[in-house]
This record gives sequence, structure tokens and C-alpha cells, in this order.
Amino acid sequence: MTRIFIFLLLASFVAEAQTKTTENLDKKYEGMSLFFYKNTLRMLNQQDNKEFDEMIKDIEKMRFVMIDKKKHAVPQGEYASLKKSYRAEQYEEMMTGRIDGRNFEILVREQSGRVKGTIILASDSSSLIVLDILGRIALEKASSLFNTIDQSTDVSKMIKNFVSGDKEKKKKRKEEDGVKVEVKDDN
Amino acid sequence: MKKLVLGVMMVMAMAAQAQNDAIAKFFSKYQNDESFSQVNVSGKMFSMMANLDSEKPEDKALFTAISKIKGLKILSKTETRNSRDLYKEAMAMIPTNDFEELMTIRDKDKDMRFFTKESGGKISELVMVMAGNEEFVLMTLFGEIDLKEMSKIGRAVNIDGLNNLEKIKDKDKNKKK
Repeated sequence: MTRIFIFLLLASFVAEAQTKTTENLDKKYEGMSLFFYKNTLRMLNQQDNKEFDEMIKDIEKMRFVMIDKKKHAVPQGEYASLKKSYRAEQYEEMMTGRIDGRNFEILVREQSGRVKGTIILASDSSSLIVLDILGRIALEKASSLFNTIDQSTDVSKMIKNFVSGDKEKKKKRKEEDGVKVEVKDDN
Repeated sequence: MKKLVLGVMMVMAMAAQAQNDAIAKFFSKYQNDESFSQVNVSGKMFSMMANLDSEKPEDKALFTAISKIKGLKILSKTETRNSRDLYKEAMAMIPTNDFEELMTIRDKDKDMRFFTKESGGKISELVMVMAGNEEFVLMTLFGEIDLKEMSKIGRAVNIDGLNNLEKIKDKDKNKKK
């Protein structure tokens, strides 16, 4: 767990936003933003699942943004507005739907016939989540990646720590590690 | 004469549209009901999947079949007591003039029916209606559909509900015996 955490922190140090829409969303709500690189994604695959490795092989980096709807006043039209904004950044809709009460959307940006970016949007009554991927994943397996990130014990613990942890501790940790990963003050 | 032909064509086009609307209406009716799950996959996604590189000849046939699919819609409800009512409602809305029944399966507590629609000698739509004691699924796949590749497409797309397409392959096997 500690090893993964350190890797995530180091990876995030040099990470950059993939899209303006995601960057603006994060700034607007000051939510939680995590950056993953291929190596850090591999670290999530503790059970050496070959399918998972195959799924992430073409991902260069990935940004995970989570907005807690209980803490922030997220307008009802925010989800639709996000989709519109991604479309304005040349993303096209690949898949939409709602499973177990959670709306989701997969959008892709192509350049010269190659996938350059993938967005996975998810929203339910408690949170708004964006996976902003630079590179591509096998689209038919996008939901598996989302579930792995969503259900990974390590990542879940980390999210919990970030969300409920002491802000001073986080600030100190950030200063010690000189990292960009942060959970901003919700107040 | 030209006017007559044009008129007949317009009536036929309107009739076809009305039949498609029947299924679309069913999706629309429940799309905002949060107790239902739904998935819509665009033709673009299928065409992108078809662009994957493969040296295996069998994969090439699969990718060709995938590239001709224009879209997929799934509507489902689980842990429901009215699955049989939904099944009846869905069955009643399928335009029987236009759709031909491909296969019926009764598996333990599940009833499953597949329908196909032909256009120009090719299958242009595949509809599946399924109901169990507590679940209901309606799926429609449209474009140019190669039934021989359906089971592989079901596996390749890896979406809940499409695994039922494997049954089509089983049916073909049974026919050969």
C-alpha cells in the first residue's frame, strides 16, 4: 500500500492535465485529483491480471477527478454541460448509459485515425467522477478499468484518507514529497 | 406513374419508420426511470473496434462483421417483480410484420426470444427480449448483422446482455446435428 502510494505521488509530480474541461472542473470544485502513469496503473494490478495489463498498455497517463456532491453544490445540468465541453474539445461519444443508478459516458478523441484521448464520465447521487486518459484503452473494457479504479482497495483507502484525513497532515505530506497530488480545502 | 412509385415508396418508408419507432418508444418510455439500467453503444465505437490489428484470419472476419454494426441499445431491470409484465409489454410492441422470430429459449426460469429484421436480403436488426423471475432485458443491435459472427461479437464487445448472443451459435450447432 505504502509503495503504491509513493509511486502515485511521484507520478503525479510530473503529470499534467489532459483536457481543459477536466482541468476547469477540478479548479471549479476543488475536488480530488489523482494522476496515474502506466507504471502506477500496473501497481494497481496486484494479482497480475494479464487482461488488466493488456487493457492499460496504450495508456500514457490518466487523471482521476472526483467531486463529492455532498460537499459541493453541483448543479443538475453539470453532467450535460461537461459532455458539451468535451465535445467542443473534439471528443466523440462512444458509449452512454446508466448502470445501477450511475450515469456514465465514454468519449474518444481521434487524430489521424488514432485515439489520442479517452474520457470516462460517471455520475450518481453522491459523486461526479472523471477519468481523463491520454492514450487509449480497449473501449469494450473501459468499464472494467473504471471498476478497478473504483473498487481497488488501495485506491479506495487512499481516496478515503484524502477525503477524511487531517488537512494539516496532508499539507505537511505534500511539502515533504513536493508533489502535485492534493485534496483541496472543501470549506 | 412516377408519382405513384414515389407515393408507394414514401408509404413504405413511413411504415418502416413507424415500426422502428415502436422499439424506440419502449426505450424512451423507460430511459429516465432510474430503476432501469441502459447502455447505448455508437456505430463509431464498433468501427473503432474493427480497426484493431490482427494477423489471425478468423479475427479479420470478426472485425469485418463488427465494422458493419451501426449501434447497440440495451435496457435492463433487475430485482424486479414485474419482469413478466415488461416482457409482455415488449413482446406486444415488436412489429411482427417486419420482424421474424429467430429463436426462443426457455432456460430454467428464463424466457428469451430473438427476432431479426431483414432488409435487402441482409439482417439489419437483431432484437432480444429476455425475462427471468426478477430480471428483464431488451436489446437491439442494428446495422448489417452477420449471425455467424454473433457469438464472437458477444464475447469481443464484453457487455452484459450480449453474452446471450452465444445462444445463436448453439442454435446453429443444434441445427447441424
